Amino acid sequence: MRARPEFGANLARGLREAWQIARGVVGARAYEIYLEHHAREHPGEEPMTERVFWRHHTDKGDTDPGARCC
Amino acid sequence: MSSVPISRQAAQPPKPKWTPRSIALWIAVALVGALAWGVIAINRGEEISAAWLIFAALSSYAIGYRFYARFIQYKVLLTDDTRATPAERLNNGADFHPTDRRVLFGHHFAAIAGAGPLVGPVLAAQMGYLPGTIWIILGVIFAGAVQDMVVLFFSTRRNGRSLGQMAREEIGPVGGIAALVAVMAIMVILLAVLAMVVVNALADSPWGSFSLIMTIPIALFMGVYLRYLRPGKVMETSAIGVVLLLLAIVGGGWVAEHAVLREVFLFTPNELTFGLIVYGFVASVLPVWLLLAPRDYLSTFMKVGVVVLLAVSILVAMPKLQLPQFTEFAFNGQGPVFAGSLFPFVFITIACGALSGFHALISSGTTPKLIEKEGQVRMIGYGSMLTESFVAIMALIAACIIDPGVYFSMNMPATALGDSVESAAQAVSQLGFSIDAATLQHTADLIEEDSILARTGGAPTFALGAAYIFSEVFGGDAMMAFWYHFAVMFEALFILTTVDAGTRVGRFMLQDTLGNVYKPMRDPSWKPGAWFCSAVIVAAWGYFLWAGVNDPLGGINQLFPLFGIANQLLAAVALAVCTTLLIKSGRAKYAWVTLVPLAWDAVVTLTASYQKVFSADPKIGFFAQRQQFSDALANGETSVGAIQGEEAMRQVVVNTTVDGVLSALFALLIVIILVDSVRVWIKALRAPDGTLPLTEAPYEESKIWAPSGLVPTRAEKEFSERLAAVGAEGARGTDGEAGGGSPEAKKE
Repeated sequence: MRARPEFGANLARGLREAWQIARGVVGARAYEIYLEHHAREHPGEEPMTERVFWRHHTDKGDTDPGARCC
Repeated sequence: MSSVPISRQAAQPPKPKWTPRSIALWIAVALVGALAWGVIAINRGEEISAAWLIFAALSSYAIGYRFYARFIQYKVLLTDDTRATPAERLNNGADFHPTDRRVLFGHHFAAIAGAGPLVGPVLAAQMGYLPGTIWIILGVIFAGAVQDMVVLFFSTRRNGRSLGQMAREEIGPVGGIAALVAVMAIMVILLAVLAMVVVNALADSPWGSFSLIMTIPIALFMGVYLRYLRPGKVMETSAIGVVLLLLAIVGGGWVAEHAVLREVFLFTPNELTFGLIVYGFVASVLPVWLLLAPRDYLSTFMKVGVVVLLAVSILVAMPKLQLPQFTEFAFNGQGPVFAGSLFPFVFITIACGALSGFHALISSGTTPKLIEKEGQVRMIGYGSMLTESFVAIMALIAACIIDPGVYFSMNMPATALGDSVESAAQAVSQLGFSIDAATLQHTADLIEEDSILARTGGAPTFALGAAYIFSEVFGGDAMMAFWYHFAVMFEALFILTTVDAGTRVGRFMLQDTLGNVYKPMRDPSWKPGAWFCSAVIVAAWGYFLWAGVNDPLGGINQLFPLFGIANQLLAAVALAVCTTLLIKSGRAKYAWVTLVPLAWDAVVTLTASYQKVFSADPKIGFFAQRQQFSDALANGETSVGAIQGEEAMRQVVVNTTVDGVLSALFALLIVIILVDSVRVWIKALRAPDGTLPLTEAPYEESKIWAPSGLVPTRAEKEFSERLAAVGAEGARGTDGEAGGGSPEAKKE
């Protein structure tokens, strides 16, 4: 059997993971994904600020509606 | 262009280890499934618990997922996890990026599931619970989920090509054009039918209308909040939105009691129709951030939340099914909700939840650009569709736990019911479902509506059933009215989002097509073009909506079969593309995996179209109906059956002509696609192996690793720990950018 403290830590980790999954599903992680990508592909360059990024991100929908179902 | 021999791509399927424990587990699942199916199929006349439907569904899904989908994955598709997916190869941190499988599952599910699976099963319940249950469960296992998974796989191999592009490249220009026409047609009919569902649910209901109208300012507020106050705080904004939404529903109850406000929010069907048309146009030309984006966040939240809430409530409340296994309408084709007998019309009416061609657009659009590993197509493509099917089962349960007399009073056209609870009770009792006027009035009072008569379209019936289930668990009778309007609002919310998004999708397609003739049209930011194309699309669905709402025979009755046929037509395109690809890539011996559902789909759709065009029974055949009414008009008669007045009769003549021509057109399109595909199949089968060009993206070795299933297997866990120890990429397979490069993965 596992000791209690470890159980608590596991639970906390599980909850954190669930929260990140939920954020991912609704699309709240877009800026983090962009930052990771930017750091990897364009190191040294200044990334967009959060505000500017979200503006670009949302406005993309104006030219690409994506698909949705019934 | 490349055609790598299959043998080289073949992944090593993990060998399932059969332990006594896992054998016992699967035997238990099979036994539970067999028992549940036995109870729901053999039961004679006694009311059974809805739980049996849930058990039958879940155990069948488990077996389908574990055995059939696994067979398709490893024997037919030969998914290869050493091959980099487009998300990894073309990663741009935006529309292409490897996404955690659990996130993508939620994403894909939210994109495929909308109001569709909640409507079809409710209408099909007029034939009893069994036909719908069998089709939803078997249909999804052998057709719907297979389609979604196989399309997802092939599109992933092609950098996320759309269904239309694949049809053009793999079948030919004729198939490609047929696919484009099918998508356009289904879009228009779909928007009209869904908008009609909203009109029927909200007409003469101040409570419902108020709460739905409030979603507009709520969405606008969220849009501004996200843009200017707290950019990127999606969770926070959605949570505020949901709270406001619940307040709007509570407020609706107050509005419905208020002497003045009550009149302000009391709309006739035609007022709502006009309002929806104006809304559709304005919403589709407004910037996305203002209305559509916040609406989408809200819909996703509500969708996932309500599905979970409903599943839990059904399991807690364990309601009993009141509808019989079969009603006589399954066999005589005289059903008042929609005409036609079990075969083929159950399979047309229930599209979403069993087999829905529309999903192929999602499986070949957004999702393949985000998937981390080919092996995940089973979990994401097949698994999401199983979940949607489960939603359809819950909708069927919601319809079947209602008193059958109430069910028919809600779902029959107004002309058949008369305008009082007494006449309705009499009409329904004549059908063989005895009900008294007092019960009908009591049900209306319970949900604080003036009337429940002729609330066709499925949404109000689903809402009533859901309200019974919810209030059993939370709040009892006192909460019935709240839960009813909660469920109505929940459906109407999706539908308004679909109306906005669908009009946009149609507009872009139209702009793209017109761009071939007049270049500037292609630029989506050119305002006149966007406005013009939006207006055309809105006018198209607006016409069908208006005609349906005013159809003396009942718009749902007339238009829903057309929607089903259009959706299954798209499924035929998708399955034909899949079959073509299986044959072309040298897997002809497994082509039956998609060929059998294709054949079934073609038989069903063509039979339905044939009956809709050629049936001599005016209740079923559009042209027979047209003949009946135009003859009557020519003879100077002023009524046919319950339809009174020349104007109404003329309306029927016009509507049946349009609907009949469309049915014929859909049938023709299916035949064209089938003939064109068979031509390609024969060519491919005659050609020596590997000489036909495939449009697959060339093989590139993957550098990331991620588990395939929802829960990593023990072997996958050990492998991931070994990777982590040497600091390799993708060791954790966490959210977002799968890969050791993510700070998040390192943090923990």
